[in-house]
Amino acid sequence: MDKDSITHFGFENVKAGEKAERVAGVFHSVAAKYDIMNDVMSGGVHRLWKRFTIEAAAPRPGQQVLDIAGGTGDLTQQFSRRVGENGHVVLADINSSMLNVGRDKLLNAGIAHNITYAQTDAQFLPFDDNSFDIITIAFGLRNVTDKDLALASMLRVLKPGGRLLILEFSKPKSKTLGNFYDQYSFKLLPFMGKLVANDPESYRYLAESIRKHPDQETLKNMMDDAGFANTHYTNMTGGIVALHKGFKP
Amino acid sequence: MLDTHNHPTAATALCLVLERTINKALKHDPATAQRLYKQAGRSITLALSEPTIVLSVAFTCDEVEVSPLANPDADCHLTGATSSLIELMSGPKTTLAGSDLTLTGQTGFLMELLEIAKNIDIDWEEALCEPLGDYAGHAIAELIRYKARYLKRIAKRSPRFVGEFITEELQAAPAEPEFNAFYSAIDDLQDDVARMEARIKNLTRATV
Repeated sequence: MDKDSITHFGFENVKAGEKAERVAGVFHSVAAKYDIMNDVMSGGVHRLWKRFTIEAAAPRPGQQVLDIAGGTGDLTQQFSRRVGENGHVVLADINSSMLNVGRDKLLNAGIAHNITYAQTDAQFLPFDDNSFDIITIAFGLRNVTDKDLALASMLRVLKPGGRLLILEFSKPKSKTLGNFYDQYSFKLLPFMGKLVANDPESYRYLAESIRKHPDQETLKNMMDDAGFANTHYTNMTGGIVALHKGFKP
Repeated sequence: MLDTHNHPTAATALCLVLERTINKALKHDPATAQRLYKQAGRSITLALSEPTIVLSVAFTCDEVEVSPLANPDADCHLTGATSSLIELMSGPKTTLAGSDLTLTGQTGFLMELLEIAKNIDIDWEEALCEPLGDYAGHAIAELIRYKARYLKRIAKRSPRFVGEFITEELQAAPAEPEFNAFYSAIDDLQDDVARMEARIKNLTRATV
């Protein structure tokens, strides 16, 4: 994607070169309250979505894991335990504030022996080809400017037979749930953002960016086009969230 | 119920609750915990029906992990009815013979797990004393033990009580002696009919 080509930032159209900067602004702003806001917004259900992702990733001792957009380290913490002393987890995030919160959280939990941290853009992953057994990106892909470029980059650094798991907001399956979800996202979410984090704008962007994100089938097709094999997805909580999984052939 | 295909979020929540309960309970049964932790690195997948339950249980050196997904690399896979598994775990049987459960993988591993399950001995009193204090914990544990003994006695005697209530009090069904007398009368009648039939045949032959 060209720097001057037009992309979306929530419901706004912006230049591609501008999006990363504005997304960074949002996450610098919410980093400190990110975990508590996730619990408030989802009623704690985000922990179940993430746990299901870990189980679907099926990490084994000794494996190499890349947790892209890992932010505050929820997935990394679980991966670190599962891959054990002979395995390794890279917690990557483009945003330094999120990465700092994640690193501090993990260090405070006494988890340090098999984790490294990388401030990096998912579109241009600075790792060798065929380096990782598992790559996850949880609630991060929708903020990436050029998703196709990011998928290609992930495919490159995955080992053959390795798996990519994308956990992301998606499209509710039922119309009733969709209507309720719209009301919740556009009315209640910014209100909660104001109340808890004093930042309604960032949470308005969150709701808008979810609506602009590709639906389940579109994302699956994007993974197929990028070269992933055996791609499939699992809807969770009525399709509000979907977990996509694909393998590097 | 624990149907990952249709309800992944609910299945994950139930597995999480199950995992936490098991690990908490194991803290109050160190002998069982030690025996389970010796199985570190091994896992079992259960695919049960009525209700549908799919889960994998993996053992590490310090806890038990419950996953809502079948593990294709598990050491053994058990399929069949949920009630059959409960019966196997709680009853005296130690083999799958005669049950509708099917096992693929290491039979020995399943047998070891069954033996461990049959010898679980959780110190509930300790578990109660932790949050409630010694006095309240002990009092509640005593009450639970008393109620458990009472229910066990009732359960043992209940089939006889229920039978007597239906036959004697409600008189909704005849008692066993009445049944026996009735069946005996039917047998006599059957014999009489047979004898009469033979006699009629004889008389008919004599007349002709």
